Amino acid sequence: MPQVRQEFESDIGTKGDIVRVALVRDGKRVVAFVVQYEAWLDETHRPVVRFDTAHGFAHRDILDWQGQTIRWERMPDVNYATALTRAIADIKEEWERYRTDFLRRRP
Amino acid sequence: MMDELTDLPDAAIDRVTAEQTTKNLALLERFMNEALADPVLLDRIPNGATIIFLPVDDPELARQNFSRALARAQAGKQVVLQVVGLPRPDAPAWQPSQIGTLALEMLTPRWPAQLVPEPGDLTIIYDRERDILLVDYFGLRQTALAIPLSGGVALRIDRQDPEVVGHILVGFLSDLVERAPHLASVLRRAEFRALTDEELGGLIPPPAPQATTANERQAAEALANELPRLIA
Repeated sequence: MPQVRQEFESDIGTKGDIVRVALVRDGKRVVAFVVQYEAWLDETHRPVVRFDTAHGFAHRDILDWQGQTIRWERMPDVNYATALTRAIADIKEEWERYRTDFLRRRP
Repeated sequence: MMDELTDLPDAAIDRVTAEQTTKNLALLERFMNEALADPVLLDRIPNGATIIFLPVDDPELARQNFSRALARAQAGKQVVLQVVGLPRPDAPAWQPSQIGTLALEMLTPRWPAQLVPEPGDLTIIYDRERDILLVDYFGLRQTALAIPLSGGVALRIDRQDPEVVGHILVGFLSDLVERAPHLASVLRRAEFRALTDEELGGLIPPPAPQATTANERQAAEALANELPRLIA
């Protein structure tokens, strides 16, 4: 079965903030993903925190105002479908703190 | 640290908005859990779309989210409404046809550069049974969608190229001609027949008034009262 790449954004309601989801599927199996919380600031979407599978394992990147990683940590070793939903659950719990910390890093 | 933040723009988020955001994130989490178990749900989301959730069990949030969906669609975004919490039909055969994903499409119809471009293009059909008048300016060549406006008037719009191609007037004689008697003259050019569903363009007209002895008697009396004045 050919792999399917898909991307969409979820409007979550705070002043234009979104969660951007991209995933590559092989049937029901997720082989790669990106889940990124973006805050609407200064008339643009700015990535605040990103979970992805670059480098061959699921991890979280905390980002600076220019979208560069300032800190990262590896997620627990679970399949990527579980890691993807855990990433969303983490954003659900922590989005306000991520947003506030991000604003502190504003140049 | 908190004192620094009070001076930062964009820092303050009211509690109602914050609560809605957390709820929307919970809906996204729920949807992704369901979609990863049943990827058909993901297949229905166009690539690059903005997905906005309508929770069945939270009408107030659904209303707020729908308002935002309209604003996003008007801004040119490809918006998909995803209903969350729909009970699945008991009958397995009905489940594939359950609609939970809706693409929101904004139609901004424009007035055509020229009405009736070719001789014979003006088409007028009067459905006597249902008292509906159809006017088409392009010889009924386009399949049209009917968008109700108000006052018994609907616009007919070419679905492919959102241009106005005609009108539908409901309650033509019983209401519109009463208000604008000069409109009655269009009947001179009209074809008298029932309108098809395709010609109605999705409009569901009110049921035809039932002929009764009482309203026939009323019509006969009105005629009898008027005729002497006309022949005098």
